[in-house]
Amino acid sequence: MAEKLLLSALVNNHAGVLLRVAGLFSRRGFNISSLTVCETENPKFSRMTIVSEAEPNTFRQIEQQLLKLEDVIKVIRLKDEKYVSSELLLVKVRAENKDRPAVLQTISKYGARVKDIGHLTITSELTGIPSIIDEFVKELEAHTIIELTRSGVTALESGDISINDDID
Amino acid sequence: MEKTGAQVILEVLLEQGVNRVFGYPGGTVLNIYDALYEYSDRITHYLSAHEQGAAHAADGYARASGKTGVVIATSGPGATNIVTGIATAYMDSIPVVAITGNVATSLLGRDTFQEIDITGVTMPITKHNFIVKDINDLAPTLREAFRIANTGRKGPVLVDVTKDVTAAKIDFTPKIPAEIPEIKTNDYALESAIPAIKDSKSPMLYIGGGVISSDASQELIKFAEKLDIPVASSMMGLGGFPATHPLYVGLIGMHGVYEANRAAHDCDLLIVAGARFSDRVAGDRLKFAPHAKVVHIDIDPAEMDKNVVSQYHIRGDLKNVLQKLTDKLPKAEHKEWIETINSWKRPIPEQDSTGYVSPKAIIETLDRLTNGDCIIATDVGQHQLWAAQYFKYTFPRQLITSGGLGTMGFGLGASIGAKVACPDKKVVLITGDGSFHMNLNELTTLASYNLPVVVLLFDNRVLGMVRQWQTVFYGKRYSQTDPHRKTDFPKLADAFGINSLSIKKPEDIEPTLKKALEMNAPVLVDCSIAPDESVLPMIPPGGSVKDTIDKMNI
Ligand SMILES: Cc1ncc(C[n+]2csc(CCOP(=O)(O)OP(=O)(O)O)c2C)c(N)n1
Ligand SMILES: [Mg+2]
Repeated sequence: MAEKLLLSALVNNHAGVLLRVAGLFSRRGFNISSLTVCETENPKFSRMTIVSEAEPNTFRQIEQQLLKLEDVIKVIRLKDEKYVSSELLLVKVRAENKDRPAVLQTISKYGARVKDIGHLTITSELTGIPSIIDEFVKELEAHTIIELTRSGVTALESGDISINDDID
Repeated sequence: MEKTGAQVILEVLLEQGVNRVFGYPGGTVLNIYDALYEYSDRITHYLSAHEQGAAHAADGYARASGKTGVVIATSGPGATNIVTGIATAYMDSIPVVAITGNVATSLLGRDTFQEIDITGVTMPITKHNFIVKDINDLAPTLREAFRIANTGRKGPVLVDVTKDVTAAKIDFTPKIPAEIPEIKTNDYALESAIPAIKDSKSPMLYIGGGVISSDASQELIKFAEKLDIPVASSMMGLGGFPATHPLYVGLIGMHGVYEANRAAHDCDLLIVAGARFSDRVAGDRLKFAPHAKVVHIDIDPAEMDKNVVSQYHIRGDLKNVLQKLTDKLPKAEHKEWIETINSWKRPIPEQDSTGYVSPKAIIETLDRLTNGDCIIATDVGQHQLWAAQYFKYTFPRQLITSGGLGTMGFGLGASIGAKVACPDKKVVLITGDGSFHMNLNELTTLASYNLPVVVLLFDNRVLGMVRQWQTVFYGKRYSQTDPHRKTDFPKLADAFGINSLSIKKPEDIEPTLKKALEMNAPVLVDCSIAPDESVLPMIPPGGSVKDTIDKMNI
C-alpha cells in the first residue's frame, strides 16, 4: 500500500534544478503530491520539500535516485513526527451579508486571517499542518468556496540538528 | 595567457589528456574548429559522415581505452544528431564528454536559426549537463564535466557553449586535472555479507559491465579462484572474466547458456558484481534466483533493490570490494556444485545452415585465426548475440556492444572509435544488414582515415532478431522484417573506396577471413547467413529458466 514519504533536499540554487528533480520523478514513475522550493539562508543552495506517495519498499530508491542528480547535495527523510511542517492556504469563500458572520466565525475558530474582503467574498489565509488545513477547507465547504490555492508543505527537522550539519 | 573560449576548450581537453576527438563542424562551432586547426599538432579530430557516427565513435573510443571519449557537434541538428549516441553511452555508463555549440547568448530563447535547447533535450540521458553563457565559467565547467563523467558510476556529460563564449577572451591558466574521488566501500555491509559467503554451499557470481569500468578483472579472478565460485556474465560483463577459465559458466540471460541460467536459479548465494538485473537477464525479476541470498556489489547505491531485492548491499568500487573480500575470506571449495553445473551443460543447439554459412562457424574461425586477440564491435540484432555467444572473450574491453539501449547503427562508429583508441589491435565489426544500413555512411570515415577495421556483415537479408520474435510470438507474420532490399554490399564498399570480400560457402570462411585480417586496410566481408537462422536458446520475455526455448519451429 502506498504511504506518504516526506523528503527535504538541499540542492544547488541553479536554473533548471527544479526541472531535473521533476523530470526524475516523472521518468521513474514516482509520484509528487507536492513540492516547494526556495533559496535558503545560503544563496548557493535552495531547499526542496517533496511529498510523495509510494510503496514503502521504494522509499530508499527514490532517495538514492535523487542523490544521483549532480545538483542534489543532500536528502533527508522526515518521519516519526521528528519534524515541524507547515503549509499556507489562501481561500476565497462566498460571504454575502447573511453568511458573513458564520464565515468569519469559522475563520477565527481556526486562527486564520482575513486578507481581503470583497462585495460578495472573503479571502482568508491559514498556515498550519496540512491536516488542519484540510479540516478548515472542509468546514468552509458548508459555504461556497470560490477558489483556493495551497503552497504545499514545507518542513524542517525538529530539535537542534540541521541539514547543513555536515555540509561545508 | 590570454585565450579565446575556443582555445580554452582545447586547452582543457589537453589538460585532461585528450588528444583524439570526434565531431562535425557547423556555424556555432566555427570558432572551435578554427582553434582545432591551430591545435592540430596536439589534438587529432576525426570527421565523421554524420554526428551520430561521431558520438558512437567517441563512445567506442571510451569503451576500448577506458579514457573519456569526446564528441563535438554544432547547435540545432548537429546537437540532436548526437542524442542517440549520448543515450547509448548513458545506458552503458560510458564516460563521454559531448561539446555542442549554441547560438550567441543574446539570441538564446528566440528560436534563432539552429537554436535547440540541447540541455533540455539531453537531461534524462546524461549524468549531468551544462550550458555555458559566460567565458569565466567555461574552463571550470569543462573540468567539472570530466570529473562527473568519471566519478562513481560513469556516464556522459554534455556541455553546451554559446558562440559568443567561444569568441570571448580570458586569461587562462592550465590546471592539473582534479583527482577522481574514490568511492569508499561500505565496510559494514561487506563484513555482514561474509558469513553468508562462508556458509554457502552453492554460490554463483553474476558479473556485469561494472567489472570492466572498475578495472576489477584481476581482482575478480582472484576472488573466484580462492572461493571456487563459478561465474556467469551479462553481455556487458563479457571479457571481465576470461571465457577460457575453468570457473566460467557462460552468458546469462535471455540468450544465455542453459547452465548459467539454471545455476542462477538453483544457487543458494548469488554474488552480483557490477550488474543490474536488467530485464534481459532477470526476465521475471520476482522469480530470479529464488533460492538464493543475494549479495549486490555496486558503485551506484541506487542499483540496490531497484530490480531484484538483495539481502546485502555492498556499495563500493568493485576492485576494492573484491580485494577486501578475497583477503577476508578463507579458501573454499565447491566441487560438487561445480560438477552439478557441468552436468546441466547443454550445447547451444545446432541449426541447419544448408546453402548459407553458419554464424557460429564464422565466429569460431575468427576466434581461432586471431588467437582470440582482437577487439570485437557489434551492432544490434541476432549477429550481436551470436558474437556474444560464440567468441571467447578473454580480456576486458574486448567486446564493444550497445547493451542497455540496443542501438542499431552503433557498430561502425564504435569500431572506428575502438580502432583509434587501439591502433595496434585488430578490430573486427560484426554487423547485420539492417543495422549496417542505418549508419553505413561511416564507411567513408574508415576510408578517409584508412582505419583497418574488418567489417563482417552478417547478411541474412532480414531484420533477423525482430523476425525471430515474429516467428515465436506472432505466428510468422513477418511484418516489415523481410524488406527484400537489393543493396549490393561489395559494390557499396567499392563506391566508398573500401575493399570487399564475400563468404558464400562454408569453405570460404577460413581463407576469406585470413585474407581480410591480413589486409591491414578497411575491408567489408559480406557473409551469407540463412534468414531462418535463430538465436538459441531463448527465454521469452518475463520468463525464467524453465521456459527456455531450445528449438525453433520453422
Ligand atoms: C535504432 C533501432 N531501431 C530498431 C531496433 C529494433 N531492432 C532490434 S534488432 C533489429 C533487427 C536488426 O537487424 P540486423 O541488423 O540485420 O541484424 P540481424 O538480427 O538480422 O542479425 C531491430 C529492428 C533497434 N534495436 N534499434
Ligand atoms: Mg539482418
